[in-house]
Amino acid sequence: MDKGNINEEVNRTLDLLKVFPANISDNEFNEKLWQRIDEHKVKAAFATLNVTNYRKAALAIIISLNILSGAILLYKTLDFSNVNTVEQSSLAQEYALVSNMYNYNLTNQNK
Amino acid sequence: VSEKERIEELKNNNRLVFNQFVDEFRPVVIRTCYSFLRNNDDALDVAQEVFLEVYNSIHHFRGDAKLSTWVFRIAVNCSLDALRKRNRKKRFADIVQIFGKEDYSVVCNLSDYSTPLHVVENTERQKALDAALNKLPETQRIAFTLSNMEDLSYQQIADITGTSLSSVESVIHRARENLRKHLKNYYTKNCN
Repeated sequence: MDKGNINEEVNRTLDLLKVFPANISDNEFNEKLWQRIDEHKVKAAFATLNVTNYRKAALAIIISLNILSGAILLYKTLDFSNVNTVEQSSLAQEYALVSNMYNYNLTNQNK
Repeated sequence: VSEKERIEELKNNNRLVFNQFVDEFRPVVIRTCYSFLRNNDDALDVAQEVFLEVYNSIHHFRGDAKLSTWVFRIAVNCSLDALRKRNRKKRFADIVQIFGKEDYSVVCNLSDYSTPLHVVENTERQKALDAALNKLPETQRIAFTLSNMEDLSYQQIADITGTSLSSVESVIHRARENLRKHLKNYYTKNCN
């Protein structure tokens, strides 16, 4: 390749810098973004939980199956008065997470 | 709505205002990410990270800079992080290839050059351009990449990078020269 051709090839290569992708569907992008934000919220909420991994797994199932209202009912109905203070604290954390998730979902549905 | 009111609404996690904000900034954020990553899928993925970061960090935004400048800074940082990850992945693929275990290079290359335009005729040029851009010092790469986006003035680039206008001008000039030099070397080496 001679000098002139190399310069031409360099110019053609630099032209690629002006190529940008076509716009993608707005809805698709926003939908995925909100999914990501929601996932992040759940992860952040889980990170603050000070309960055993078994209980975290149980909560994950409750959230993924979206049976939050049932779980809230269970926390309210069952009698936990006999459990020790450590257990009480874990239960309170779990209940707070579940009810926050429930309220969050409810608010988002209404928007 | 003033910028101040908008920031307050964003801090209150107002979903409607956040959606409007995403609608307004989405094209320019995607273009910024694409300018650094030069791959559609990666650009879309990193653009989502940018908005996630905005959502999570808006509470820390003090309003010293314009909201758009702050968003551009996040877009640049997220894109550079993604580039570093990609380069690490490529280095790992090269090492694996040297030891002859498995050919991971195909996996990396296909994902990096997968737009139809690249696949048809520009794959080689794209590779040359990526190699030349990778050789630029980070400050030159950032300023030069942003200067290719017609939406941004040199003053805005100076605000985003936190440098002076004259510094931005000289850095972009040097980046352009270096890029040409690297590309000429590449084509001289590979075409003789």
